[in-house]
Amino acid sequence: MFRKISSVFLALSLILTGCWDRQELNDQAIVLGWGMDLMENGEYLATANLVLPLVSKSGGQESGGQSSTSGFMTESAFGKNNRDAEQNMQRKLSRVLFPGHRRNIFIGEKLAEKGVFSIMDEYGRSPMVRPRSNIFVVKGGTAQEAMSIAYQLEANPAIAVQKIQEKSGAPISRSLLDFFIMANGTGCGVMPALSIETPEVNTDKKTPEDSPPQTTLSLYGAAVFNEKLKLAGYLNYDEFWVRLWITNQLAFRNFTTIINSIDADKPGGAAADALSGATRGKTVSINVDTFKSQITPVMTGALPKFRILLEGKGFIEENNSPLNLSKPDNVQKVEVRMNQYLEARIKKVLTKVQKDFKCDIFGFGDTIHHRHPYQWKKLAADWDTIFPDIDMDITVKLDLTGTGLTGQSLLPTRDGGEGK
Amino acid sequence: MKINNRQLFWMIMMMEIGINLLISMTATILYAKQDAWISYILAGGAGLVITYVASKLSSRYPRQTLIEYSVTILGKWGGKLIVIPFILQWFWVIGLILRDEFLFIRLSVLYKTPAWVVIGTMLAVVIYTVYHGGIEAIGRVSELWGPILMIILALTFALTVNNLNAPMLLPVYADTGPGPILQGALAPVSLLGESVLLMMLFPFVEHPGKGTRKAVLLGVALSSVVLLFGVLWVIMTFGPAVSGRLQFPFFEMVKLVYLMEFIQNMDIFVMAVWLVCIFVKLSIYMFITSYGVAQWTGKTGSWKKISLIVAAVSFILTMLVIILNPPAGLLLKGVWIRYVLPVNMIGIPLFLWLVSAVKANFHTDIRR
Repeated sequence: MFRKISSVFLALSLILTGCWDRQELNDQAIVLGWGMDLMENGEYLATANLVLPLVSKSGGQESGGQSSTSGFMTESAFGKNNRDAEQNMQRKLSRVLFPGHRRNIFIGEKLAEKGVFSIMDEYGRSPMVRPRSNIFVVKGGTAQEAMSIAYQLEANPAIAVQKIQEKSGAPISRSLLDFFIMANGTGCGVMPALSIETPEVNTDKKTPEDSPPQTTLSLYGAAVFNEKLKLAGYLNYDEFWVRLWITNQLAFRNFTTIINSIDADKPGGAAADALSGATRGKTVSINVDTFKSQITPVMTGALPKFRILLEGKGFIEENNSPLNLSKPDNVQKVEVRMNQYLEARIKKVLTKVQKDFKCDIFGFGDTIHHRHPYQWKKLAADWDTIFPDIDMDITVKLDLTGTGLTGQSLLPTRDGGEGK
Repeated sequence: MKINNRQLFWMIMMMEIGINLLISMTATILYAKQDAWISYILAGGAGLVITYVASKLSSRYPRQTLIEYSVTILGKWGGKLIVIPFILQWFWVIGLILRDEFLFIRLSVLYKTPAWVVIGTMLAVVIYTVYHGGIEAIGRVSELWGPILMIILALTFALTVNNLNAPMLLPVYADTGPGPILQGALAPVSLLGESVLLMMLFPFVEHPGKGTRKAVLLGVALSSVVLLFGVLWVIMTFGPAVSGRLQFPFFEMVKLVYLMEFIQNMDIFVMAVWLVCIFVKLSIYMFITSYGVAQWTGKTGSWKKISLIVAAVSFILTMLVIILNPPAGLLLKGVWIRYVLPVNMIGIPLFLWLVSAVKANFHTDIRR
């Protein structure tokens, strides 16, 4: 008797359980990117980047010329917040919005300026989405603009920005989580920032097959948020790596400096030369792929100080300077000059962050908290007023491990070189 | 119906790890912040002491369950009365686990499935196992799944290692102090202390004795170590502030697994394993509740029939808990930590042990 009942019950439960949550793939609109903008009247505009199922199916087989259809579609709707806008958007969609694959979230500049507090909650709360997302601020534009651009290399602009970020040496797929962690730490936050770039030089399309550069998405750098989670400012592409290096997140980067002449380039020469900014100087580029940072708070005196030791390992990739790199002395010179250049560069960015943003995005406060917890209890409350005046002692120690495939250049003559 | 020591070891492991990893962490981190790992070490120690007392007591009466030897120790009335808190706890815990299972499943996978289906299917599987296989089937399931669980957990730890940020554990002790650390330890202790139900399982072990005690203590110790790793991993991934706010931080951590684009969405494995843990735990509780009630009412032979009643009652109880929806904090803190931990896990076993020891001395004195 019991056996019969239980087997029937078991069979029923096997058949029935899935039913309530059945959601066929054909009924889903897969959201790859999500954008939020703030309108003038205070309403939010949400934009969704959806996978177009019909196109992606026959993707590679389309023959003849550039296909005019793109692999994604953009839809938007007004609303009071994320979920409200999503519901309003559903009005226009034949499929259920499915945010389970949402990898990127875009935030328009206006909204970032007014503060992201009112929209960020959903990104951590909704069980449908993954914590492994990237979040971006669109500098000088709206999320909708950025998401509407057909990025040519990828099927979808929402995927493209993430890959660009990865190729810039930044950590991938965790800027949302990092933002939550940072906002809980010293209060400030950082998000990657995007911008919409028009081509440097406009080229006409002469035949339909031509592919001149088009308006595209690019990584601008990083957007800095203050304790009220409002946009404080940006670090551009040549500044944001400083933060990544100091916080131990940088994966790789090229550095280029100028070395004008051998005589002037004694070890310890003037760093100003290297920073002169001349574009036609004699340049040396190194490719650094191992980064390490060590921040030591020094607690003597009224204000804390920081000793920042930044180490890296790399090799010389390009040398247009007169230096003959087959001589170890000259490699040494490059190393010294590069260290000076980087120190000055980093110092500049640190000062900018301290004076302009007044926001500890490097986790300096956290290092005091970790190493000197009892002193931190006295400092913590006023950290945002103390931080702008703190002295930083920066040391960069590069280790050049090689000069590429050649020592001496393959070119026989060098302008201003040591002769033959 | 016999289990061996190794099966008992895996049963304890499965029972302790699954739900503890999921629900005790947030409460602990909320109090003890980045020092939650100290709380877990303390909790592990306390869990071992509780287990030791319970197993010492049981090995005085290796052929009797708690329900029987409480009568032997305190006499008919006292013995029957003193185990009432246990019977209440068992019913309560079944409801609690089922509710947590339902909440978690609904949040993570099945958003629209009605409560009675999620609970009903789990209860159906559990009652099937208990009714047909009894403790032996549970033991074998644990023995089979325990090692798989350990492998998946090890994989989880290995694959999330790149998200770890060791300085998040600093500063040690300075932010919290003894009060918060002890308070944080309460939640894991109250769950680790569930090993006291070995007082019901002891007579089912083939050769109850020193080896059994060793197996149980080893089970509690190893699960504490796994939990310790879990909490270290969670804090190093999310930092104390964020992990104290996440409802299921360990599960969120698994969701972060991302390796070379193709190894991701590991969460489904962990969920599967977690469900097996819940199944084992529920089965053990269902079995001892049925058997215990049967012995308590004096009808040991008909425990199978009683198990059906127990299943029905716990189904209704769980539905009630879900409908009334008391806050999760009330269940764990208000009932579990306030009453079950001091009374059922510490008070009653110690009291029984004391009385039994005094009585034994008294008897030997008389014989002399």
